[in-house]
Amino acid sequence: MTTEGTSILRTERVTKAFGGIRAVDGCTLAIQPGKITGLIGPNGAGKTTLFNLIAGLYAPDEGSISLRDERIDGRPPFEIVQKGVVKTFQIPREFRNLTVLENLMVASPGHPGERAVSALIGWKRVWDREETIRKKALDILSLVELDRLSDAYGSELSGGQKKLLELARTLMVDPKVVLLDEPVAGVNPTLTGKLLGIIEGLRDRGTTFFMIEHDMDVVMERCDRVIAMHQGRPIAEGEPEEVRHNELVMEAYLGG
Amino acid sequence: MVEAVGVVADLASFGALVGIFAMLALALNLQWGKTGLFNAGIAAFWGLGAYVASMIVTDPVPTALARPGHWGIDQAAFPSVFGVSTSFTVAIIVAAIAAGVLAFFIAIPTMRLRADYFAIATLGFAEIVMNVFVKNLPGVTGGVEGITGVPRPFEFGSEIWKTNLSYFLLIAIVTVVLFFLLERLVRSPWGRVLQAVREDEDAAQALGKDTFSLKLQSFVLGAAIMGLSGAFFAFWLRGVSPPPNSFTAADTFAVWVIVIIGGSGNNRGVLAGAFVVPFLEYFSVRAKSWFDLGEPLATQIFYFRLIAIGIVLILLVMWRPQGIFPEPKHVAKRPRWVVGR
Repeated sequence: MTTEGTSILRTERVTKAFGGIRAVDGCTLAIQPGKITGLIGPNGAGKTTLFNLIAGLYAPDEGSISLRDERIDGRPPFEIVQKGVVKTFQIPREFRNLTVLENLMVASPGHPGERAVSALIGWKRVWDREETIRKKALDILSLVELDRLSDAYGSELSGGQKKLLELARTLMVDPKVVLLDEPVAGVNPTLTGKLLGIIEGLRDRGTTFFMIEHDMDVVMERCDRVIAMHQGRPIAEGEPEEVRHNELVMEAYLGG
Repeated sequence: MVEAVGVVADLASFGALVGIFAMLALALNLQWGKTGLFNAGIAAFWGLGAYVASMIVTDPVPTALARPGHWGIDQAAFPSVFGVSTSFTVAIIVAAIAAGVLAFFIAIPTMRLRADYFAIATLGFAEIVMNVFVKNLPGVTGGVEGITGVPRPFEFGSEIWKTNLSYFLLIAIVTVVLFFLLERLVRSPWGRVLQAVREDEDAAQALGKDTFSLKLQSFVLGAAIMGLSGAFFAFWLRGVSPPPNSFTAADTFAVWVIVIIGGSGNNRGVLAGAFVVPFLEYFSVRAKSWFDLGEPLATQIFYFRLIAIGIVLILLVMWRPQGIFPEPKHVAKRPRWVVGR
C-alpha cells in the first residue's frame, strides 16, 4: 500500500502478539492531517490493539510508529500525550469523585502546580495558571454543552454525557491527533449528532481524528477517509464509498 | 493538688499519643485517601523512624554478655540551644529522611502493582524489616531488648512540665503545622492530580500524567511523615522495643481504622479519628480504677477496646462508609496568600 501525500501519524510494519495471536501483524498505515479517518473492521481485527500501541499502552514487538518525523513507539503513554496524541476510551473513564470542571482542569498539561514543591509554596503563577485553565475548561464545557453540569461529580453524568466529558477532557490537551475508540457507541441519536458535529468543527480548525467506529452510517457520512483492517493489518484504504465497495472488505465482514 | 497534677500529666500523655497517631493518619491519608496507595507497611516506616531517632539521641551501648547493645552517637557531640540538645532536631529530621529513603527503595519494585498486591507486598516487607532485621541485629538495634533510656526534649523545670506537658505541647504544634502543610498540598493542583490517579490511573496516564512519579512522591512523602511520627513516639515511650511490643501489624491496622473512621480523603476527619483509637486504649486501661467493676470484668475491660473498634467499624461501613467527615467536594483552592509575582 502506498502512503500518499504528507501524513501526520504513520505506522510501519507494526506487530504485536499476545501469546500465539498476532493481534496486529505488520500493520503499515498513514493518517493525513486535518481529516477524520475512520478505522473499521470485524471484531478481533486488531483495531483497539493498534490504538493502544499508538498511545503507548503497549510497546510494539516489531516496527515503528512516528508522529510527523519523530519515533514515538516504546515511549511511555504520558510522553506520547505530551507530544500531542491523545486517546479516548471505549468505555468512558471519568474521574468519578472529581467535579466535571475538575475533570477538565486536571487534564491540562504542564501545570506548574502539579509539582509538590510549587504547590506547597503557593507561587502566584501556579494560581494564575489555575485561573487560565478554569476559563479554558469552562469554554470547552460550553462547547460540548456540559457547562450547566460543571459542578456535578463525574459519576453523576449519564453514559452519553460521560462520552462528551471524555472528548472535552482530551481537548484540554490541545491535541494534534485524537484517537477515538467508538465515540458514539451507546449514545442516543441526538447526542451522537452533537458529538460528531463537535468533532467536525474541531477537524475544520485543524485537529486530526482517527476513529474506530462500527456504525457504518456514521463512517460513511462523517469520515473523510476510511481504513479497513482485517487480521491485524489494513486491507483497504480510501474514500468511504471506495472502501465500502471493496471486495476484500465485504469478504472480511461476511467471513469469506 | 497532687491529684490534679497527676490528671493533667495523664491527659497530656494521652494527648501526645493522639498527636503521634494523628501524624501517622495524616500520612496515610495522603497515601491512601488521596492517592489510593494501599500501604499496609506503616509499622516499618514508623519503626524505622523510631529506631533511627533513638540511636541519634542515645550514646552507643556495646553488646555485653547479658544484654544486646545498640548503635548510638556520643551525646557530647551535640551542642545545646537554650538547654535543649540539638540531637533531637537532628534525630527528627534524619528519622523522616530514613523512612522516606526506605519508601523510595520499596516503591521502585512494588509501585506498579495493583492496589491489593501492593498491600500484600508492603505488609510482607514491614514484617521482614521489623521481625527479621530489627529483632536480629543485636549490637545495632538492641535486638529483642530494643533501646532504653531515650530522653525527651525539655526535661527541666517543674515536675509536670518536665514529664508530660512540654512534650504534649511540642507534639501538638508539630501536628498542627503538619496538618496545614498537608492541607495546602492536597488542596492544590498537585492534590487534584493525585486524586485523578486514585480514581483511574490509566485515564490519568492517558491524559499525559506521569502517574508513577506522582505515586512515588506521595508514597515517599507519606512515609517520611510516618518516620517523623516514629521519632516522636520513641521519645514519648522513652525507648523502642521490637515486635510484639511495638511496630506490629496491629499498629498499622490502628492507623487504618483512624483514617476510615475519620473520613478517608479529609484531613480534618482524620484528626478527629486520631482521638478514637488512643482514647479507647486510654479508657480500657484506666476503666478498672475508675469504676468499681468487680471480677472478672475488671480484668477483661482492657480488651473492651478491641470490641469497640470492631463495632464502630461495622456500624460505619453500614451507615456512613465515607467516614465521619466525607471528602470535600472541590479539590484545589487558591490559598489566602501567594508568593511571587
